Amino acid sequence: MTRPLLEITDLEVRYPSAGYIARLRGAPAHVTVLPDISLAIDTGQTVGLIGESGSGKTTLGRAAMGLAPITAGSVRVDDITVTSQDAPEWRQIRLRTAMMFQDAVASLDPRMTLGTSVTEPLAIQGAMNGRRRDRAVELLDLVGLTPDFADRYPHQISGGQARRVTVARALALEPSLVIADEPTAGLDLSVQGELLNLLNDLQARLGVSFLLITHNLAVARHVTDRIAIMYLGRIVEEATSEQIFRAPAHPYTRALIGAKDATGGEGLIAGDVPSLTDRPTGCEFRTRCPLATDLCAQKAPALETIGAGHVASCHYARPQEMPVATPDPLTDRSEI
Amino acid sequence: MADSTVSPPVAVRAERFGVLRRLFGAPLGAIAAIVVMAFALAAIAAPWLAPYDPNAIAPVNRMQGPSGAHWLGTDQLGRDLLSRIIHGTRTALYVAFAGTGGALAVGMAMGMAAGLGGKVLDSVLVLFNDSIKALPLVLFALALVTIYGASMVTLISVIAVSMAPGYFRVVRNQVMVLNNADFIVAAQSMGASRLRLAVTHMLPNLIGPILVLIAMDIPAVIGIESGLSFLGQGIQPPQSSWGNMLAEGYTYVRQAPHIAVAAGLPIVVSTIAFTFLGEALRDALDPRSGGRS
Repeated sequence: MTRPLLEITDLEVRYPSAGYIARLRGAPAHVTVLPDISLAIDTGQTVGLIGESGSGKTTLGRAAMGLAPITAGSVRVDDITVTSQDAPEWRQIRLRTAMMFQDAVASLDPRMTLGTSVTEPLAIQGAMNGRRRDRAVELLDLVGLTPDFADRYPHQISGGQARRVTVARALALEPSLVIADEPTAGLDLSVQGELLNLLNDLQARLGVSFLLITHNLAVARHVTDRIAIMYLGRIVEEATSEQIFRAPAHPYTRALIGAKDATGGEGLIAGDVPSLTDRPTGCEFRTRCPLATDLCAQKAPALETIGAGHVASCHYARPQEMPVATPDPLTDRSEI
Repeated sequence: MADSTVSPPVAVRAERFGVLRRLFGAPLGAIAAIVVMAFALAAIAAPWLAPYDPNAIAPVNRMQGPSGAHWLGTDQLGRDLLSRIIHGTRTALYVAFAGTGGALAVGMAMGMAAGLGGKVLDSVLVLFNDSIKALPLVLFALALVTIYGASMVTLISVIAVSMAPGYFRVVRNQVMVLNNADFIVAAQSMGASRLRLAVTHMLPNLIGPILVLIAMDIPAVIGIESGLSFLGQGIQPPQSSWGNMLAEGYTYVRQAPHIAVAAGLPIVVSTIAFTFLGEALRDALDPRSGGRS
């Protein structure tokens, strides 16, 4: 069996919190966003990272690119392993990975033309061969944008077009891994579909792996091979997308799928997400779990294998067929 | 798919000159810009524009009122006031640009270092700049003049040092905001070095607020130069400066009030013009002030 392309092992991310004064008053010195997390992505695979706001999925994505303070554990891409945020090896990792940010327009320098922005990775890594403008036009063409976009500024284009520009920029160095944070956020359904098809298409042509961070289950279902469900900075269930949607094991996953959208907007998961500085004892989901018992308050469940390639952390986890197949809004256009 | 490949009717060229268009679209901004340009032209072309040698003494003509030969009259030594004012413009703007330029260079370098460097460096630089800011300007200027003697170099140094904290603060705060901007983090994720972040991403996004600050600072600098020259601690005679002309005019204000008026007028007009230009520039550079889609 070959090694995965990206391997995150026992990673801990802690942010220093509050100032000196607040700390004197007893505020905690650190906020642990990711206590201990492991994740692997194979070459050419798309892994979805799903959870509510504040579950740490964006932080995990950033940590994988050295953009978050790593206090323990390691990140490995190909044969490069790093264990801290300021390691010089990040430069090599960044040559092989690229990131797409949640807010596409804000991730483009407002004073730079799109052509300059798109070719910036090439300039930074000293990989510009040929004239900059020609490379820009090539990259824009890859995502279906005409050459005249090279001379425009970010505020002159639409959200969907900005998204395409960030895809083009992410692909500039022909990376083996792209971390996409909410790539469909703020796009209407038809543009979402277009973008996902574009990503699928590029993956088939270029063999890129994707780490897709999203709270939109329909999007995850549409494009991912595997899905990891996050809660309070931990992975509570991980399996193939098919398994997750057909037979979710963790009560949180089941609630999410019932709610369809992990924002919890439809109110199917009762209660609020607990504070990161005041985590519940035992199982951290017990405060909102319909199955919680005394055991859950005393003992934290470990991630256990409950099926082929299917892990979950719950004392009562067992794969359970979902009663009704939830309609997929991206393929089922009858309601629109 | 189709709609994203069709170019929307955005006039890229017009957008590029949008700031200038908006600047000249506001009547006050347009007038201020024209006045400032007139001063700049006078400063650049002083030797050709001035009808007489500004330092040519002609005791026969002393303290004459405005006439066809001397449009603004002559001073107590019979020198042509118009020529002296035109050359004084050169002095004023030279000091203003050299002073703000020095302040900008020093303040910006410190601001960038504070914003991009560590917490300790930041604290040290903030303390340093706040200390300078706390010094009363005139006291500081007089101290430097006492040590180094009154000269244009001393004057420019005083201005550069005392104005630098203003630029430091603006640059530092702006860099701190930009540090967390998505496009900066994106550049970091591509492996950009700190130097690259500072030069290619931060600087272009800092230009707007800095330009406004410069336009607002220039009238203050003109005031400092005139003030110190008036006190005899700035530009030394016979070199003409609005400030030392005003001081001379003040001495003879009973016999020949036109000298003080001729010297005071450009100080007032240039200060007002630069202030209005600064305000118009601020409005024109603010994307929220309309004009953009």
